[in-house]
Formats: sequence, C-alpha cells, structure tokens
Amino acid sequence: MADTENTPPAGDAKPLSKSALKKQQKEAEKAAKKAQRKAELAEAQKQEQADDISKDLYGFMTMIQSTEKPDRSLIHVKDISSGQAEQEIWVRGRLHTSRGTGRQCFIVLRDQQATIQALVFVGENVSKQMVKFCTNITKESIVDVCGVIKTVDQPIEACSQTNLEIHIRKIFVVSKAAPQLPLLIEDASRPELEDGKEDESGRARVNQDTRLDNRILDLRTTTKQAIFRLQAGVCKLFRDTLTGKGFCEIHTPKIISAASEGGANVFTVSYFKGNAYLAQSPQLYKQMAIAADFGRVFTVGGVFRAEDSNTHRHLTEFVGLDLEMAFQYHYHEVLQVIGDLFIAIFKGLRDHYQTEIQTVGKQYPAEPFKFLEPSLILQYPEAVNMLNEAGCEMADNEDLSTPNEKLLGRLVRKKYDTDFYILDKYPLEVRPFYTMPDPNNPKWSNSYDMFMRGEEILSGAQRVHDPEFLTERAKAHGIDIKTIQAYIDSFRYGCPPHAGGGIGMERVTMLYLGLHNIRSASLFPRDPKRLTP
Amino acid sequence: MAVSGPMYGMRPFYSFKGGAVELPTIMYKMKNLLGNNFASPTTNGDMVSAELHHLEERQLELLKKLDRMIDGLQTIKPVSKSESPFQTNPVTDVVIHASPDKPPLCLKFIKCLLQKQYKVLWKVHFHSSLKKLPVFDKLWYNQECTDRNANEVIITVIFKEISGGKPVAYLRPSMDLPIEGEANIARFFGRIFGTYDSLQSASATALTDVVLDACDVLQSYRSDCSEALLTLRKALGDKSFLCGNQPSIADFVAFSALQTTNFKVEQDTLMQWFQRVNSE
Repeated sequence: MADTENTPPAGDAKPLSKSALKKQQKEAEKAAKKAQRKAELAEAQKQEQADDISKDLYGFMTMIQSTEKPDRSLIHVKDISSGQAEQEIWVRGRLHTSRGTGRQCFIVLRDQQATIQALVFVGENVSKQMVKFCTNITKESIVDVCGVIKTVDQPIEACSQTNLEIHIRKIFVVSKAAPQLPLLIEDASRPELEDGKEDESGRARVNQDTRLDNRILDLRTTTKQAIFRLQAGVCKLFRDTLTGKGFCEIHTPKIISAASEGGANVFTVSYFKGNAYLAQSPQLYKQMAIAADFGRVFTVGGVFRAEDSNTHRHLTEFVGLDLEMAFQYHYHEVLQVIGDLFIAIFKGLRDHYQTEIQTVGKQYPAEPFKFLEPSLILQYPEAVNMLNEAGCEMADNEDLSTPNEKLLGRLVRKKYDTDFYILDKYPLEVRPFYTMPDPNNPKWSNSYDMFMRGEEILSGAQRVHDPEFLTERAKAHGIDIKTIQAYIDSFRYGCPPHAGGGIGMERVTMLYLGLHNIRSASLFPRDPKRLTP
Repeated sequence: MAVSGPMYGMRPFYSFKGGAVELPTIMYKMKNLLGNNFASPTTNGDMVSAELHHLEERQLELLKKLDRMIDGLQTIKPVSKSESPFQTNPVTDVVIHASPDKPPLCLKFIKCLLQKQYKVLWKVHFHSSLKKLPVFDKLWYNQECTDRNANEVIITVIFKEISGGKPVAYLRPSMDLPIEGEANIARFFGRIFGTYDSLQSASATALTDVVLDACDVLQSYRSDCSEALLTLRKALGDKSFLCGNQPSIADFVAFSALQTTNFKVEQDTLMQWFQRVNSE
C-alpha cells in the first residue's frame, strides 16, 4: 500500500489514493474556473467591442498585398504646413514614441528627418478602447494616421514640426515592430558630447558597436538620415562640378592583377586557379585614361585597404572620389581646379543642405565649416615653420605626423580662419616614386595634400609621365622595375603631363559635419574587426 | 840698451788699402723664380698687359658696384638700420582679417610703399561667412603665384563677417596676440618703413598717435565723431599733410576712416587734403 501511496497513478485501472483524488478534483475545478473567466472575458470584450463606437477607426491593417489602390494621398510629415490647419489629412510614419494616460495618448510620428506630435483622446468619436490601442502600439511600427492639423500655442521643442500637431481620427498599423528593440531610437539620437562625457541627466545612450550591430535601426535616427543625404550631396556636387569643368566619368576595375601602390596593404582574393588583388586606388587606371587622351577624368568607386589600423578615421573599404587631369604647363592649373571643386562642394552643401547640417548639429554639435575663396595654398616649409614656432620640433624634410597635422590645422585656423587649406610642395622623400620632383630643388616635389579640420582628405601630385625618368625614380626608391613594367610601359607611347588626386568620401562627410568617427559616415562600415552587417 | 817700440810686432788684422768696399746686397744668391719671362717683358708683353687691363677693369667694376651699393644703402637707410624686418625662407605672411563693409583702405598706400622696397605678394580671399561676395575695385584683386617663397613678404587679406568691423592682423598664430584695428596695423607697417616711432622726433610720433587715435574713434563710435574730426582738422592746420609735407601712415588711416565711415567732409582744408591723399 505504501508503494501506491507515493507513486503517481500508472493507469485508470489502479485505484487512486485519497490525496491524489483530491488533487485532481482541485485541478479540474481550477480549469473550469479559468475557462469560465476566459469566456466571461471574451464575452465582455465582445460586449465592449460591440459597444465600441470607434471600432472601425483603428486596428491592424491586413498585410498590404496590393489588393486595392485607394484614392488617398499620404502627406509627408516634412511637407505639412500651417496652411493645412483645420484640414483632415492622411499621414504615414513610424511611431517614434507614445505616452498614454488613460483617457488620452500622445504619440510622435516620424518620417525620415521630420517628426510631428499627434494625439488621441476619448471623445465624441473616440472610444476608450481606441486610446488604449494607441498606447499599446509598439514603437517603430509603421502607422497610417488620419487626423486634423491643429496649430499649438506652446511650441513643441521635441519635434521638427514645432507649431503643428495632429488630432487623430483614425489610426491603422501597417507594419508591426517587435516589442523588444535592441536599441531605442530616442537613445540613439541623444546629443553626443566630446570625449564621450555623460550628459547631466545620465540618460541611456547607445555605444558605437550596438549601433553598428543594429545598423538599420541606427540609420533611422534623424541624424543618420541627414548624414547620408548630405553624403549623397557630396557625391552629386563632385560629379556635377567636375562634369561642368569638362571632366569625363570613368569606371575602373576593382579586381586587379598586381598591387597598385606597394604590396603591403592589399587584399588578396582567389581568382580561379590563381590570385588577384582588390584595387587600393584607381591610380593606374585613371593615368592610363589620361595616356588614352581623355584629358580630364574622374571616378567614384570602392577602394580597398588591408591596413590593420583601428582608428577613428580608417576603413578597409571606402568610396574614393578620384580625379586626374592633363595640364598645359604647370601643375598649379590642376591645384586650382581641385581647389575650386572643393569650394563648389562646400558652397553647395552650405546653400542646399542646411536642414541636414542643422539636424546633424543637434546630435553632433560642431562649428559651421569655414573656407576661403579662392582656396588657401600654403607651402610645406611655411607649415613646418608654423609648427616650429609653436614649439613643435620637426625637420622640414619629415612627413607630418597625425598630432602635428591636427596642431597645424589649429594654427592655420587661427591665422587664416579656414577649415580647408592646401599644403603644396611636400618633401620628395616622403612621396611615392611616381611623384614629379620640384624643378628647382630636388628636396621638394610637385605634390600636395588637402586638409579639412586638420585632417588629410586628399593626397595628390604631378605624376612622372616620362618612362625613362619614371624608371630612374623607381630605381632610386629601390623598386624592382619588373613588378611595375606595365605601369611604366603605359607612358611609352607619349603621355600629356598630368596631375590628380584622390578624396575619401566618408572623410569629407565626417569632417565637414565635425563627426568624431568615420563609421558614422559609412552606411555599413568595414574595418579590421567588422564584416557584418 | 835702450828698448823702444812695442814688445811684439804683429801684422794688422786686415789690410785696408782705401777705396770703395763692395758689400753684398743679398744674403744668398738664387735663380730668378719668375724665370726669364719677367726679366724680358718685350718677348710677350701684350699678354701681360691684357691680363693687367682685365684686372684693372674688374677692380673698377667692383668699385662701381660698391658705389652703387652705398647709394642703394643710403636710399633705404631707415630700413637698413636694423636687419630686414621680415623673416625669409619661409616667407613672412601678414594676414589681415577685414570686413568688406569697412575695408582697410590704408593698405592701398602701404602696399605701394612696400612694393618700393620688397618683393610683395598680394593675396585676397573671401571667407565662407560672407553670404554674398562683395564687388571690389582693382585694389583687392588676388595675385596668382606659383612659388610663394620667392617673395619677401606676403600680405593676405581675408574678407569676412567681423562683429564691429575692426580689421585684425595675424603674424604668428602660436605666439602673438593679433594686432587689432586699422590704426595699429598702420603703426606696425610704419615701424617697418621707419616712418613711425623710430626716426621721428618724439613730438612727431605723438602727433601721429593723436591722429591715429582720432581715426580709431571715427571708426568705432559715431557719437564722438565731431570731436575727432576737429582733432583731424587741428592736426592738419595749414600743412599739406597731417604730419608735414610728406604723406604718412596718419594720412592713410585718416583717409580710410573718412572714406569708410562716409563722413561729409566740408569744403575746407580737410577736403583739399582728402583729395590730395586720394591722388597719392
């Protein structure tokens, strides 16, 4: 007996103990009660729904499978104007934030860079249930809202539409977001202070890696929307300005047979039975285009650097804006063109991308970018002298180190009040072998760097276009002629004198806006530690 | 026996027979180092004289050059008193930030004076803070140059939005405080020319200072301007220029102050002076 008492019933045949029976009974009662409660609740809900005066005014939309094409135009949040006050409109946006207090619910609708406040409160056509539904919509869901535009007395500082709000009449969820978000857009949009200082209130913020791991959410922030729209502007202005100056856009191969600039930092990829490399720059190909009589060429494309440097300004893949041009007698003709190009880009950004600049400025405060017209051109010895005067020991045939570059940027800014300048006549020994030496003093070369906010963004030079002299220069650098024979041979059939340079698109974006990290300016950045997403 | 005469008879040391004694003129005799050529100039005398002529010509030329140098030095005496005020290699770049509404017109004269003594590069830039590029006369054109270091001094004028409109000059960003105001910038250049402070008498310097201060007032506040104008008129007196018979930095700055602040100059000595400076 003792056995059966302690072991659970194995089958129906066996009689149950008293206590087990009791247990079973209790469970059955519980289940019955639960079922009853559920039924009651369902009944109540049904009743509620039946009573709900606004049950057709909200809900989850069935998945849009293009079944119908209603005659309804959705207005973009950024286009809503005070002229539309008291009008009923349809808006589609993401539910940025919501705050419900029983009888009313405030939500912020976000559409790209624009936000607007919307509210729903229990009233003539709005039931309690509808307000509750609004409160429970998960953040980042896409909603279609129909409502009346109203002007407000107190400006709403948190939204881009500060003087208008929407009084919701209908709200439907188009696409639901998961209730748990890896990061909150609000947190990701908080102002970044320099040196990673906390703001006073100590509110949550999102670190760089979380941002990059959940890039699509991070990209939804108004700041990132603005950054990449401005970046598109940089490219557009680059293309438009150069096309206007008679340049021809070319596309160069990215899979190449030999390392173009030295062999150290090049990615090797398998190419059928052998190996190939990813282009470190379109250098050789744009020079060949010059040798092929294109006169002035530019190219926009991916550039790969296998440098294991984890800094704020290095990426392993970035977009190069490269140009090369044949000149008549002096490489300063090219310097002039590049200087004018930058002025055109800066002016275009200043005049046509002010909204984006302002938006980014809210999260990454920076002084407006300053430049001079015509561009300031300094010579290398002047720069070294300025550094020496500031108490920085360096010889005039040394390359600029990164801290010196920054210091020089500050000194130039103080004296000339410009964030952009050109440094001409670099020492020959710090430049690659294909750089044309200075005609008067072999210590210098016909080469230049350009700087934005004290960081290098362009490096360029007059190239040696004479095959014999090129061979001589390569030998002087201790380069095996055989490895660059194809390069030298491309000048064998006559080539006009030419110069050019390459610009890093992400760097221009980062430095123009005063961002602290180049990863903020690359849509899906690639660095030695990151290949995804 | 009577002994007389010396005890010993001796032969004299030498026998002097009288007549001229021929003494040697040199200690050692040697062969002529120059050989026979020199001894017989007749053999190739033409060549030697040509050489001598050449030498003489060179000497004369050098003397002439020296004369010219002395003349040159005398004309730039005030500057040559000290070393060149500009550091070369790399070149000195004096950067002046100015407002396009109140361009420092005194630079027009300073530029001319500088160009008389130095190789000057004149650069003009427009800053991005300007919404619209101002239209200027030929004075503010930008000089193109492929080698900045080939110059002795560069004047860079940067036109930008300046609150108050006072021009500011920078020499070395790391060490110096900027030079503020047109009057002070003019003083800086005046010292370089030696026309201010260094060679003048103390009273002349004081007069220049009074005028420059009046200009400062003219350019800064509008309330005290009648007094400042009076100062200028008094300083001018019946002279042709503010500090004598020669135009000086005081005239240039006063000209600029009156020009840029658009004061109505009445038909009197000041007006005549104004036109006189303008034509300089």
